Amino acid sequence: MSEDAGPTVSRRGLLRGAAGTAIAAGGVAAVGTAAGQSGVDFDGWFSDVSNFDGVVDRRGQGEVTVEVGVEGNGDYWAFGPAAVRVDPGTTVVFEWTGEGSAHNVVAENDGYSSGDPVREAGTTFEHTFEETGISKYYCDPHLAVGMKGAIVVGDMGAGADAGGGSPGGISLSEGAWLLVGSLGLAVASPLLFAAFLRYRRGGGPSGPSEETREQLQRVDEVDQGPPRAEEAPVEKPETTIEHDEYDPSGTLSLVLGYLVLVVLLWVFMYFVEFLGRGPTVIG
Amino acid sequence: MEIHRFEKVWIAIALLLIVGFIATIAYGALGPGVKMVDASGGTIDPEAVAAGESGTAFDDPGVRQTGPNEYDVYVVARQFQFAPGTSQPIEVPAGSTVTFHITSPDVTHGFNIAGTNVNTMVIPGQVAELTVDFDETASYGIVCHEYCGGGHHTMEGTIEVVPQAEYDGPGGS
Repeated sequence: MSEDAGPTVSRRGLLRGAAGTAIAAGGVAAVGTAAGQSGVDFDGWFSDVSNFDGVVDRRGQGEVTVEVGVEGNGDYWAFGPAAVRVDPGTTVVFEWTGEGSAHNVVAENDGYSSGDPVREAGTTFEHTFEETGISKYYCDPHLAVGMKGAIVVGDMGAGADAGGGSPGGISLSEGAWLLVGSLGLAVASPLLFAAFLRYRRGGGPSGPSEETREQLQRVDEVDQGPPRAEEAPVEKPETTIEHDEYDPSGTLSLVLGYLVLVVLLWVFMYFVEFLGRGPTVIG
Repeated sequence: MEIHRFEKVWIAIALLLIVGFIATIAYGALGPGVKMVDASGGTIDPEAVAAGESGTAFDDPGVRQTGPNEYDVYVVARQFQFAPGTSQPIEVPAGSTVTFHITSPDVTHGFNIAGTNVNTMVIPGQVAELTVDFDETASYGIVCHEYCGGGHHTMEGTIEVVPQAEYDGPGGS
């Protein structure tokens, strides 16, 4: 992959960093290896394209075929091959395989499009690439899952093209190191605290503290055990009222308050939110 | 058993609320005529829909006029678009009664006209059928609300309710 990790923190990068921290804690220096380059910088275009495997060289051919709907990205949601290198002036024929629902070919910047997505196998769309450069395209319905491709027109970056590579080693930004560091510190803090306690006690005998021991001794001397609780005297009620004389008016007002609230919510939800908004299903 | 008169008050309130709720449902069904989406749409072979050989209007989905102010709209919801709806908006005139027929050739989708209660699941092999009155000119969004795969969050479409005078018939699909 030609993606550049850059200043962003990806989950994979973070995990890699966390693993690196563990290695570093073990006293082994983690050595980052340089990210592989495919010679052409697609600027992350292929970072979520599962079937991208470097730039396929088709120079020297007047007409190049790219299949639309080959296996990839979790279904038949890929262009095959995803990246092709052609000579300027080459006509690229996109040919539908009929797999993976309806597809289309839409240029990212260069204006060409095959129109509405179609499914029929054997559908073709042609475009002639005259200008040197990278022409990125995608399938509109399946852009989100990574159905993307690119045509590299001309010799740019050729020679160094070794079919891509995977970024290895550790390349984390400052923020990522901070995150990984604080995570490591959080995990290590109980251990550090335990070590601190052990150090402070100095390996002395364990048991109740000086104060507790004194208290226990006093209890032993008195020889009465803990003090017993005394029963509180039963007080006579000042006034006694009958059942009907008791009026919980506070509770009643609370109930009436809730009633008003429920009725308001009911009216708002059913008549305003449900019936009052736009068309409704009537059949 | 002796029941305090205040307790009698709130028992009566609770009963009144229940009667009120039931009355609301009855009003919704009889007044505005709110209906549930049922099995009236029938079943269909999803493979045939996928191949475009179902022998139904789903082979060429779109808007069909069935009466002076009545339209049928056939929609195929597939990963990850509504056809029609996504690539080109579904266009119907204001003041029309529109019956949607929606099915899926692949996985379960959802069909919801955003902000309204026009809402159904779209299950492969089943045709969801629902009728809606579009009284006023408006532009509605359609969203898929059943997780249908990696591109689910991009699956949306548009319904344009245009003035009667500007409507130039169902343009096909």
